[in-house]
Amino acid sequence: MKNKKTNTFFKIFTVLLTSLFFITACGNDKEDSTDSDGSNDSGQTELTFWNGFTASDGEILQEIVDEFNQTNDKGINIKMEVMTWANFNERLPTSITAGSGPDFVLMNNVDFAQYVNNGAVKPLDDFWNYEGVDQDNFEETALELGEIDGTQYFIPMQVQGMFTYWNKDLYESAGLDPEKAPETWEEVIENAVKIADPSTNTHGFTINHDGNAILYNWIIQNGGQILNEDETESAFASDETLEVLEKIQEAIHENKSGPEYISGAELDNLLMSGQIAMHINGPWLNNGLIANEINYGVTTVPQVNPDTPYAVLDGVGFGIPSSTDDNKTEAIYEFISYWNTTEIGKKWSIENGFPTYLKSVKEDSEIQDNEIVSELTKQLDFAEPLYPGNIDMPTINADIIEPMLENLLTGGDPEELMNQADQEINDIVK
Amino acid sequence: MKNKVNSLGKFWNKPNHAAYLFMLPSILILLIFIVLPLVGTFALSFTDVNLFFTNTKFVGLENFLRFFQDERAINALINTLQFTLLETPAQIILGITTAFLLKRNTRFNRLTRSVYYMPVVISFTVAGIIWAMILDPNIGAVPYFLFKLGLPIPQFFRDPNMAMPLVAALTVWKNFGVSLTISLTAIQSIPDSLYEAAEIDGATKAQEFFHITIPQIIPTIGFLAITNLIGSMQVFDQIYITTSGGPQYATESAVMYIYSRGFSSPYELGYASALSAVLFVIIAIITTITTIITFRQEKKMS
Repeated sequence: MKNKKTNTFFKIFTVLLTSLFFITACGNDKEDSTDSDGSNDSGQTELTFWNGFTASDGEILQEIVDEFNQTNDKGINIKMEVMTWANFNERLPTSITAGSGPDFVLMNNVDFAQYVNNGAVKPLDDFWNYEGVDQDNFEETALELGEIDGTQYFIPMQVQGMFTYWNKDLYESAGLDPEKAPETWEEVIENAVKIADPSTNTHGFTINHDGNAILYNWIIQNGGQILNEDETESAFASDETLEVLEKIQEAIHENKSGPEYISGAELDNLLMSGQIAMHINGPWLNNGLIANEINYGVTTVPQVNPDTPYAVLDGVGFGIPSSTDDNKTEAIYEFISYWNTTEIGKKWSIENGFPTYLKSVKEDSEIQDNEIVSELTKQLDFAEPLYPGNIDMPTINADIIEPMLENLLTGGDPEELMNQADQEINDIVK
Repeated sequence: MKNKVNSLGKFWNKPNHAAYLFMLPSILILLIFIVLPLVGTFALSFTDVNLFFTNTKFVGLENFLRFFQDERAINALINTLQFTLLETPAQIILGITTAFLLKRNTRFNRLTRSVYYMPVVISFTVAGIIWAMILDPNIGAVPYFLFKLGLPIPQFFRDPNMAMPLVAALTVWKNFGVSLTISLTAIQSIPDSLYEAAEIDGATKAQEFFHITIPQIIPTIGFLAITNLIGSMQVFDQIYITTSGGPQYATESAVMYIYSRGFSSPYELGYASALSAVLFVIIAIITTITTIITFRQEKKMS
C-alpha cells in the first residue's frame, strides 16, 4: 500500500518536472542573431537605448535618433524605448543584473551615482580617444557632472539648472514692470505677495513640496550647506539655512504668496494656465509655455546676491550598463559623438529651449540670437554640480528634505525641522 | 518498454489520477508565479540584498528588528488598516444594497447595473488621474464650481485629513460594481417563496432585507469580505497616482512603502522583502479570522 502511494507521487512529480522543463525550453527559444563583432549577418549593429524622455523633448530625441539611423555609414540601428524615470530606475538595476539590460541609457546625474557604486555601468574614459571627439569643446562643469573619482562615467547629453519663469501679463495687471526679470529672492517674494489674489484664484509664487533643488540653490547662495566638505557629516543645521527656511515659511505660509502644498507637476500646470506669476523649474517648460501662448519671460534662478551668483547644475548623460557587450561600445560611441556635434547640439537647444554645454554651439550666431537659449546658457558660467557621485543624495532628497519642506510650508517650526533633518542626514551619511 | 508506456497511459486514464492532469496547469502557474516568489521573498528578507544584487550578506533578523523601530513603516501599516476599515465595509454594504434594489430584471435595472459596473473596467491609473484632475484645487472642475458659487475650496487630495477617505471613496466608486454583481447572483437565487411568505405576513421591505436577504447570502458576504480585505491591504495604484503617499505620509500604504524601499534609491530589496513578509503574515491572520467568523455564521444559519 505504502509503496503504491510513493509510486503515485513519483509519477506526479515526473509530470511536473517534465512540464517545468518544457516551459523553460520555450523561454530559450529566442535566438541570438548577433555575431561576435556585435553585428548580425547583414552587417547591421542593433542597439537598444532606454531613457525617460516622455514629454515633447522625447519626440525631438526620437527624431534625432531616426535621422542617425538613416544617415550613419556604419550600419548602426538604434531602437529607443521611452518610459517614466521612476519606471526606468526600477527596471534598469534588475535588467543589468540579469544581463538583459539595454545597450546604453540616458540618466540624470543624481540617480547615476548609485549605479557607479554598484559597478552597474562602465567607465567611459576612452570615449575621448574616439575619432572626431574633442574634449575641449565641452564645458568643464558639464564634464564634472559625470565624473566620479576622476573617472568619466557618463558623457553629457544635456545640462539643466533651475530657472525663474515669470508671467508678464500677471506682472502688468499688478502694476509691475513686465520686462524686469526678478533677480533676487527678496524681489520674487515681494512681487509674489503683491500679485497673489485669492478672489481671482491668482497666485504669486510658491515652492513645490518636492522642490529640493530650489531650496538647495537658495541655502547654498546664502552660505549654508547640506553636507560638510568631505561629505561625511551633515552641515544642514546652520544660521544661514534657518534664515532661508524662515523666509520661505513667512512668504508662503504666512503671507500666502501661493499654494502651500503642491507638487512640481501640479505647479507646472498652474504656470501653463496662467494662474501663477512666478515659478522655478528646469528649462523643459519653455516648449509648453510657448504652445500655451503664455506671455512669459525666463531668467536664471533667483539670487541672494546677484554680484556673486551661484546655481546648482544638473544634467542628463549617456551611460553604458556593465551588461553591454564590449564590441558594441564603438557603435554607441558613434552615436554619442554624433549627439555632441555642433549641428545636433544646436538643434536640441533651439527646438527644446535648453542651455548648451558645447562651446562651439555657444559661439554659434543663431544660438546667440536666440533669446531663450542664450539667457539659459549664461547660468553655466557660475553653475556647479552638487556633490557629484554622492550615493546618498537621492535618499536625502526623497526621505528627508522633501518631507521637511512639506512640513515647513504647512507651518512646522523651522528650527525644529532643520535640526531634525540635520540628525536624519547624519544617520544616513555617517 | 512498450509495456511501461502502456501502464503509464492506463495510470493517467483513471479518473482520480486524471484529475491531477487537469489541475496541472493551475498548479504550475501557482508554483511558478506565487509559491516560488513567495519563498524567494522570505529568503531575501534575511539578507541586505540591493536591487543590483551586489555585496549581499546574510543579516539574520536585522531587517525585522528594524521594522519595529521604523516609524514610517508602522505609520504605513496603520494607514493601510485605516484604508481597509473605510473601504471594505463601505464597498460591501453599497454593493449588497444596490443589488437588493436592482434585483428585478427590468430594462432600467439592467442599464443601471451596467453603468455601475463601468468603472470596474477602466484601470485604477486612469480612474486616479481623472479624479485627481476633477478635484485639483486649482484647475479641477469641482473646485471651479465651488469657486463660482462663492464657497470655500477644500484642498481634497492635498488635505492630510481628507486624502485617505477620498482615496477610499474613489476605490469604492471604482470597485463596488464587482460586489454588486456577485451579491446580485446570490440574491437572485433566493427562492421567491420566502419573500411571498413574508409579504403575506405583512413584512416591510426593510424587514425582508434584514431577515431574508442578508441571512441567505452570508457565504457570499464572507467571500466578498475576504477578497476585499486582501485587496485593500495591498492598496497601491490609486494612492501612487492621486497622492503618491502624501501629504505628510498620511496616505502612504504598506505596499507604497515597500515599493519606495525596494525600487528607488537606495534600493534596499532585503528590507523591502522583510516588510512584504510582515504584510503577508498580517494579511494571513486577518484572512484566517474572517474565514473562521464567516464559517461560524454559515453554520449558525444552516
